[in-house]
Amino acid sequence: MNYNLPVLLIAIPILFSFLSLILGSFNKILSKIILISVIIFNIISGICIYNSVLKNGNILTVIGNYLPPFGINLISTYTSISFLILLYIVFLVASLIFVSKNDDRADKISSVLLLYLASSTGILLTGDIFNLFVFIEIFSISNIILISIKDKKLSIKGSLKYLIITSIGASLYLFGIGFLYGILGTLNLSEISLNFDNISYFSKVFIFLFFLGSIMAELEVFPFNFWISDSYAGSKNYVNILLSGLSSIVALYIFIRLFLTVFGYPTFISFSYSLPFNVKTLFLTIFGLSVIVNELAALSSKNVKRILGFSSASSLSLILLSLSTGLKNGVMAAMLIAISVIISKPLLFLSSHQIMKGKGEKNLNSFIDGFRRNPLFSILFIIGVFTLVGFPLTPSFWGKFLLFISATEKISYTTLILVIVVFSITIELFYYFRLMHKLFIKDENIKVEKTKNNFVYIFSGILLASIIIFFSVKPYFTQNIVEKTTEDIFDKSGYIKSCLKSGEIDDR
Amino acid sequence: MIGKILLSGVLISFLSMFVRKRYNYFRWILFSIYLLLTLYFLFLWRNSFYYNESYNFLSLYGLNFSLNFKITPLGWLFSFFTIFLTFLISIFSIQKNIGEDSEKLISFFWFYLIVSNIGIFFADDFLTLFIFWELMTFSSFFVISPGWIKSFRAVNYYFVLSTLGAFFMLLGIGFLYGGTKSFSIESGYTYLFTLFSINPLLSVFITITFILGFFTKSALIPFHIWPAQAHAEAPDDFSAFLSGIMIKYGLFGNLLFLVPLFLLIKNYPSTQIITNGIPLFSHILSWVGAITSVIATFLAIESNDMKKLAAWSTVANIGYATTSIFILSSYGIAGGIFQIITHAIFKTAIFLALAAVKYRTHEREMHKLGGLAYKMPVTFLTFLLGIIAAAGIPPMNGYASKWFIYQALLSGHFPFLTIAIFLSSTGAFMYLFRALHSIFLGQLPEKFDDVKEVPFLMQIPMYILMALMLLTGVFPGIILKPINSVLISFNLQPVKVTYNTMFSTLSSVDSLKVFLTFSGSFAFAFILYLIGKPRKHVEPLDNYTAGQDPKEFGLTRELYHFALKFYEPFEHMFDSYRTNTKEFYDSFERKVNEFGNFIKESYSKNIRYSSYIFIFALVLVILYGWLVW
Amino acid sequence: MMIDNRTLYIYSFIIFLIGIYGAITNRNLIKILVSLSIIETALNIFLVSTGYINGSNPPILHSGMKLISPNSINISDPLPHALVLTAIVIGVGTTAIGIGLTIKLYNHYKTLNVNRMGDKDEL
Repeated sequence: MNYNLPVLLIAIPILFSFLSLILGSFNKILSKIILISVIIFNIISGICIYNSVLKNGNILTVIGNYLPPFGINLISTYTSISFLILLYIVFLVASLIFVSKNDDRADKISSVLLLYLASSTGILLTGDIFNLFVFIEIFSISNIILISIKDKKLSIKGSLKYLIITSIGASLYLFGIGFLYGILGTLNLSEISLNFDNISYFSKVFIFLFFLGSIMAELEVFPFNFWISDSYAGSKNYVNILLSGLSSIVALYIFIRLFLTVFGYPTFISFSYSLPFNVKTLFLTIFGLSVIVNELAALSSKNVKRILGFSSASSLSLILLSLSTGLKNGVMAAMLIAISVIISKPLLFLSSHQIMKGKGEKNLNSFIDGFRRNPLFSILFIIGVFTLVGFPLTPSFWGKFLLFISATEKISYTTLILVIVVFSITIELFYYFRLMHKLFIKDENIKVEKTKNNFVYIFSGILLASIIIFFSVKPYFTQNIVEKTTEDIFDKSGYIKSCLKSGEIDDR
Repeated sequence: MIGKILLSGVLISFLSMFVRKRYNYFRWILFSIYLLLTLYFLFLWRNSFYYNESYNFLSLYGLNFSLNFKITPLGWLFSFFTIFLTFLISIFSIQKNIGEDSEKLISFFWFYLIVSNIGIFFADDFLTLFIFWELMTFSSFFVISPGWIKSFRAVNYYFVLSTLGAFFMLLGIGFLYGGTKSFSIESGYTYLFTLFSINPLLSVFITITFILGFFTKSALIPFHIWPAQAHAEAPDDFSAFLSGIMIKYGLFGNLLFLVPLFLLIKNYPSTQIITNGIPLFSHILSWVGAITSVIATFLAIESNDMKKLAAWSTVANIGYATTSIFILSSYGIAGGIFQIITHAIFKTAIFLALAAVKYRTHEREMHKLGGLAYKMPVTFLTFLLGIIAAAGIPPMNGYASKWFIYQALLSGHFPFLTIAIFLSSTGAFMYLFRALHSIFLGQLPEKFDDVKEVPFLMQIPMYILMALMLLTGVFPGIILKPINSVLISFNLQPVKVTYNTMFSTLSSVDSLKVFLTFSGSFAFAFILYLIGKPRKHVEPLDNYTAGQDPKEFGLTRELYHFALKFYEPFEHMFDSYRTNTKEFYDSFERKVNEFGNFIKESYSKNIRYSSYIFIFALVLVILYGWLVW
Repeated sequence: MMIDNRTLYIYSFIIFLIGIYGAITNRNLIKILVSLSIIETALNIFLVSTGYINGSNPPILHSGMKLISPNSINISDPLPHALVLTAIVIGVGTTAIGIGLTIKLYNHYKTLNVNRMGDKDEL
């Protein structure tokens, strides 16, 4: 089925990102209006695509009538489109916060934000490995600009680190593309995944390692995660939301497409790899180490934003850990944890920002007496913490539970996951409870003044919290989504068929 | 019905949030009423064992999530006495919260502690057990430290150790689930038993995770440091609950899971090493209990803070109970459970007496108190009977339970364990006498001249506790008969006992006779007191200065109150053996923090550093690929 | 002189290593950025060389060109050229942003030496 709406999801933001520069030079308000209306357009058309994906299965969008193995094409699968809607909601929150602030660079920033939107949509929809590279580059460039908006030493240093890492990562990625193209002669993801087995072992390992090295830079994974430390602490509030919420979705999706669809080999309940070494062990080592290291770094940090940054890195690693088990339960767990992280992390950033409002230093002690200053956002913060650490009935609880079960399915090296999970949950609980306890500490000597909350903050906080609560009190709904997503991820041949129609390469 | 009780607890807790702050005590009245109702239902169920209830909530992701409850003799016994004692504490708390603007959250979270209490004791599977276990940990976090900076440091240890323990337990549950595909406790330990012959290393690991889970909660070595911190800093009435009841959850876990497992190994010794008739594992654990009791006794002797002293004494008593339980004979288990119950009773009495002292004097350091016996006679009497029971002197209940423990140890041929227990039991005299002397006897400081006895509402639970201590001491059969049904549920021989006589393989004792002898001699002394010459009360200071004005000598009553560094010579004897566990934990915490800081700083130091790390990682990944290939 | 593909691969890899070496050892931010550009150059050479067939013609249709069967086609692959063009554009963008950030950082610290840019107090 040829359905052209997905193209507009990418094209409209790019078009308006340039237009907002031009129109914004007349009036800054115009660019803000453009930003919000483009997001709303994207949400509505995203929901339309979601419905038609539900009805008809994967949608292939061919550009320029070059049929798939050639040319550029977009594939909207259930996974990508549901991730996309989640992404748009978080993006809406971030841009509402941006709009509510007065910034004399509003036109430029909103242009960058639109570029960000376009590139992240592109990453989720594209079916072409080189296109993926282009979108990743645009994504990281807009990320760099957004981090450096706050003109402080810390933020510029953070963004420069990020730039160096991503440019080295991107060059590794290009090396991988070069190898793939030299061997297979194609750039189409489906065709690569169809023919990947025919490559010699040597080249497989080479390509795999190149892609792994490059993607890990994006994934906030230890030891490639040193850019987060400065960029979270030194960037603005809405940028934090984007970094913690959106980057995770994007990174997760890249991981799924590359390492599960292209390199992986789905059987009925698990993924396997036809590589000469044990990929799962490698993943387990890297991501497990990453979880623990990030949690420890978060534990010893004093700056609240830094704590939240390290914590989001560690939860992303936990998601990747559960994905890389390759089991059906593990993938479901990853989806569940992802849902809760993507929504609760922005909520945590938002509410901690409001709680610490007016305090000079943004460290642990500025949380003291937060409940009396700002009861609404303290409650939202607690909701966020409970969602993140896996309080019963939240999606993250089910996720951790399933991860647990998938780890005990067979007692082997993967059982180490259990230890990692237990360890990380304990540390996470500790530093979040420390923060929560500070909220309730009463300082009798100081008179508290109630913080005035901006309407936008209240709206977006309550929006995020109600999404979490919706997912928690409607567990069957959540289960439905997650199972569909997992089936979609496991359906490698379906992905290939929807792109190449016959499922075989024809000799055109 | 169990579900309804739990649900009503949650509902009433929310209801209590609407009480105005001025009428704070009304929350505690609600709390007592709820406890009384629960107690009534528990009393009704006293004969309906093995009645079970299950609530199916969700069936998600191919798993069934349900809460399963079953009334076992063990669970019933534990829940009955815990709820009863909590009811007594709650009466005390009503008075404590009149007038004073207390924390809103304490009673709110205490409801959840009671809910989780019932849930833990009646849990039929691991999932139910774990959910209520976690509820208990989280809600107790907020009760121990209701918004005070100082108590956060103390609750740190408690919270970290309990979450670590709980998640170790979760680890064990996960392994058992992997093996059995069910959360049933019974199939869990039978599976673990069979695993011992198939994969000994793994099964030992699983057993250790459970041991860590339960031992952190019941504060055995090396996790023995949290009670002294948490009990001392918690609200005073909550300390009684913490020490009397909450510390027993770990022991309950041992009885629920580990004891049946070890009994299986004991009865079918195929591959496991058996020493002295019991599995090696269980022998080690009973030694852990004994060592804990000895160390805690010495630490109690050293402490000057009265709540810390009582907390160390609790740890020592838990040590006896653990030792006795892991002997695995029917006398040992009976003695252990009996010790748990008697300890709950007398420790609640002691902590309530201490709370009463603190309610009137606002003082916790023992050397600043003294001579309160005449000012607060009921409190004094409660404390006196409590420490008599704690020291194991007849005719109080502590004697009966300790007698059982000694019988079990001796008849099982564990001479060294007996010596260890005896050592710490003797040490108990030292610190308990010191507490009695420093708080209630000796010189009354002048600032406490107008201290009065606590209000009547606070006295009621003390009277009841005194009566209870005496009653269970004179008629130990009241508690031992329910314990016998617990023993039968373990497939063990019930112990031979009537209401007032206890029999063992070695000897027997009629506690009614003991009581009559004691009260006879007491009456004799009292008669001597009455018929003797009339006595004249002389101020002690007058006595010291031979009738001259003490002010001329610059003497105050505090100077003559010998309480600080009471056992200094004794403490010096053990100077060279002292290892500070708290310091170990602190340094461990520092190490973890340093490591985290190292990671954090190496990330944020400078840009060049980051490229080093990047390349290093890349090389590692590539090396991995080459090496494995 | 004929250069075959393998030699080109090795050349590009050597340039890549030079770039990496420069990125690690240099302390000057500008030099680090230059090293990154060198890495990009290495990449572009590599990409172009994947489409290169030894002794083939450029992929341009001209009047004298014979249309032969696809199996013995004698032109080099045009697609990598397009890829390289895109990669160059992206590389320029990245370098521009990097230099912009470097200027800002220079204004803050008055130095380009990365070792002198660590402030402990900001941690």
